[in-house]
Amino acid sequence: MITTTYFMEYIDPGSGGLLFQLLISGVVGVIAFVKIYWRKIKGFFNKNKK
Amino acid sequence: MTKLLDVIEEPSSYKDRSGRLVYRGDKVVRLIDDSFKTECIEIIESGFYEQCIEKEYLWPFESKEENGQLSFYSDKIELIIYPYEWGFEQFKAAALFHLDFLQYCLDNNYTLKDATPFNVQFVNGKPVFIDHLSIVKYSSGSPWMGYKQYCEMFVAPLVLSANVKGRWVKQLMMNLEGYSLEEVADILPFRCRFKSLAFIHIISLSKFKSSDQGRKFQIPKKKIKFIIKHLFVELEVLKPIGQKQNWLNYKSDFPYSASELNHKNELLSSWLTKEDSGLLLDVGANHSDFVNDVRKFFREVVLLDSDQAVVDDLFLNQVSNGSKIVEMDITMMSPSLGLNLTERSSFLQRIKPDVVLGLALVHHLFHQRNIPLAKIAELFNLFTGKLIVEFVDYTDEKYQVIENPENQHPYNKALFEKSFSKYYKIKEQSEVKKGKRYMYLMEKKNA
Repeated sequence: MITTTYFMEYIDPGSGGLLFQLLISGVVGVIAFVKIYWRKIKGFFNKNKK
Repeated sequence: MTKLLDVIEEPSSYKDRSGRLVYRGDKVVRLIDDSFKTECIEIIESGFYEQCIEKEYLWPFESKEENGQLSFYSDKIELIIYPYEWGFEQFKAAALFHLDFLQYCLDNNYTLKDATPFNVQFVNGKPVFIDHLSIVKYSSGSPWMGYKQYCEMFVAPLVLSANVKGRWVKQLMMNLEGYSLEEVADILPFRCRFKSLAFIHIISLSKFKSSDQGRKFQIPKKKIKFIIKHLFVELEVLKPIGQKQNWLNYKSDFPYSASELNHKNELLSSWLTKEDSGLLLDVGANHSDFVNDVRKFFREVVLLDSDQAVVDDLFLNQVSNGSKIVEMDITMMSPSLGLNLTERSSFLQRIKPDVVLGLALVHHLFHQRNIPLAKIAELFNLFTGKLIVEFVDYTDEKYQVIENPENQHPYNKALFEKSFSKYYKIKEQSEVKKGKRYMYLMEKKNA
């Protein structure tokens, strides 16, 4: 059984997250951009197939 | 803070430092703490709350100041359904809604200070944010304060559901503050290291340790929006794995002929629409098309089913009819949970139906759960309101499919009537399939 997180994390849900957010934001931005456009391209070809 | 005597305090509101939540008659009242009052008044004066209400993001409220106490008055939601009672698709819809609302707040220079699914409810089939005090002013360069909590409470159960067989949304019941990301990272299969959602927002985040020195950094709003966008793009395509589809095809394998079904529906309509207007609870709802016909006669309809695939299908396809959809096994209803066992009340404490429907359910409880008829009657008697229940005889083809030869308890129509007569007065009964299926309208003896 998975246990609950240490409750202090509720007191400051953002603790430890700032630097992490800064580090990942560029990478996830690129991934999101690529995925959105990849889905659009896939959607376009699927529509044409039908 | 003003002392209000005629109020009942919401047991879970002790966590919020900005105010506390109490019930006053048919209103929910948020008593704003002095520490948040100035900021709260600024948000009121900016018109942002109004804007959120107009856009249907936020549950409507009216602000009042009495003897220096600022309060938000809003209508009670007829029935609160907790996130661990939602199906996967409903939980995902709440997760996406939270991101959408956060994005809207940021666009208007506000933010949400936490990220818990308990702040979202479904009203008329649509998600709405109910914790007004979560909205705070955004200060330039500050991070997304609820990011880690969002990963623990929303992302973890969804990613687990998509990669590891199990009812991970339901297991939030045992993890009311969210999952431990370290433990989730250990459970996830190796392939998740190649999936950006799980790898970044669970595995990497769980391993990332930093102290307050991180606060020297500033993060531009644009970069927070990248994180929100990534989460949205990844979460919206998640699907649960290993869902058994036992009852998804029930409709195409229906035990009634068209005329029998017509008769059953007419009978139910005549029994239901005479004086009912409150809350209808359909236990073991499946694809109860019949409920669509009588939906308009009730303030609230609650469709309860334990089959994950059925619950997801109900949510995705019947969301427009506005019924509340609950994934729950009637023999294992949610208990009271949390601090002092009062933080999250049991399902029975919350639901007070005017009518309970139990169609083609008794024989399943009897055979699949080995529950004697007397205990099944006792189970229905836990609910308020009148009961419409169907008895399926052992000669019925569907009964024979699920029959458990190991079950030694007696089962027949006379015993069914005797068992239910202990708690209910049988007002009407009708044969809906010759010699095989019977409908009963019952009223509580002690009502």
